[in-house]
Amino acid sequence: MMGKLLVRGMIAGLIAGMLGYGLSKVIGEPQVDRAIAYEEQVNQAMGNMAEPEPVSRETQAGLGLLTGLVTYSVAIGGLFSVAFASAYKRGNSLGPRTLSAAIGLAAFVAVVAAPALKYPPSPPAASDPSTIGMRTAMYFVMLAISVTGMVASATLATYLRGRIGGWQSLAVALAGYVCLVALTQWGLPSGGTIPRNFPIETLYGFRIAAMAVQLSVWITIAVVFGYFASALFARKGRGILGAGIR
Amino acid sequence: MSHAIATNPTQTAIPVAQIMPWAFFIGLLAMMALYFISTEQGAVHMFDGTGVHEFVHDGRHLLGFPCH
Repeated sequence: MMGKLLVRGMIAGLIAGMLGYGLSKVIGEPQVDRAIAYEEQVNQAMGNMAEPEPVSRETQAGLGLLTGLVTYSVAIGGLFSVAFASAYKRGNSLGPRTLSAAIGLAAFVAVVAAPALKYPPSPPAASDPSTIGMRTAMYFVMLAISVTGMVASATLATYLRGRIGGWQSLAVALAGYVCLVALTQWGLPSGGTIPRNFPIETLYGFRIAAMAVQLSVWITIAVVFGYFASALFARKGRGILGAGIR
Repeated sequence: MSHAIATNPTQTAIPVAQIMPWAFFIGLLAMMALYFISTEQGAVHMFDGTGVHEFVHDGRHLLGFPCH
C-alpha cells in the first residue's frame, strides 16, 4: 500500500510541477527579466563587463525552470505521500481527500508561508551575494523549526482530541505552533538589505508570483493526491469485500 | 456490515513497519534532489563552476530559496 501511495504522490507532484512551470512562465518570468535588466543596468553603470553566461537566458527560463519546478514538486509529492500514510486513520477519522487537503494546508504553512514571512522569496540582484551562506543557513534553520513544530503540533492535537475535543485541541496546538514560529522569527537575524535603487514594483510582483507558484504546487498535490488515494482505497475496499465500500 | 468494515484494510492505519523503508528511500532521494535544486553552487557546492546554479537559477528564485 505504501509503495502504491508513493507512486501516486510522485505523479501528483509531476502534474503540480508542470502546472507550476506554466504559471511561473506566465507570471514569474516577466519579474525575473525585469530584475535581470536592473542587474545589467547596475553592472554597466559600474563599468563591469557583461559576464559570460554558462547557461543562456532561454534555457534558464525554459528547460532549467521546468527541471526546477518538476524536481521540486515530485520530491514534495513523494514526501507528501509518506506524511499522508503516517497520518491516515491515526488519531483521526478523516477520509483520504479531507486528510490530503488538511496535510496540504498544514504543510504549505510550515514549509512555505512561515519561512517566507522571515526570509521572503527574492528576485535576482535583490540580495547581497556575500551573505548567501548566512541567508541559506538561517533559511534552513527556520524551515526545520517550522516543520518540526507543525509535526509536533499535529501530534499534540491528536493526543488532546480525546480529552478536550476536536476544535479545542486544534486551537491549542495551533497556538503552540504560532508561538514557536513567532519566537523563532524574533530570535533569528534578518535576511539582509535590498539595494536602495532596486525597483520596488519588481520586488513586490516577484514575491506575489513566487507565492502564487508555491500555492499552486501545494494545492495541486493535495487535491490530486487526495483523489488518487481515495480511488485506490475504493478499489482495494471493493477487492477485499467484493462490494462497493467507499 | 460493521465487522466487514473493520476488516477492510483501507479503513485502518497503515503499519509503521510498512511505511519506514519507503519513507527512508524517498526521504534520501528527495533530500538529494531538493539539495541540487535549492543549494548546490550557492552557499555550498559539490561540483566546481556555476553550471548547476545557472541551469536551475529561475526555479530556485521562484521557489523562494535564498540566492544571489
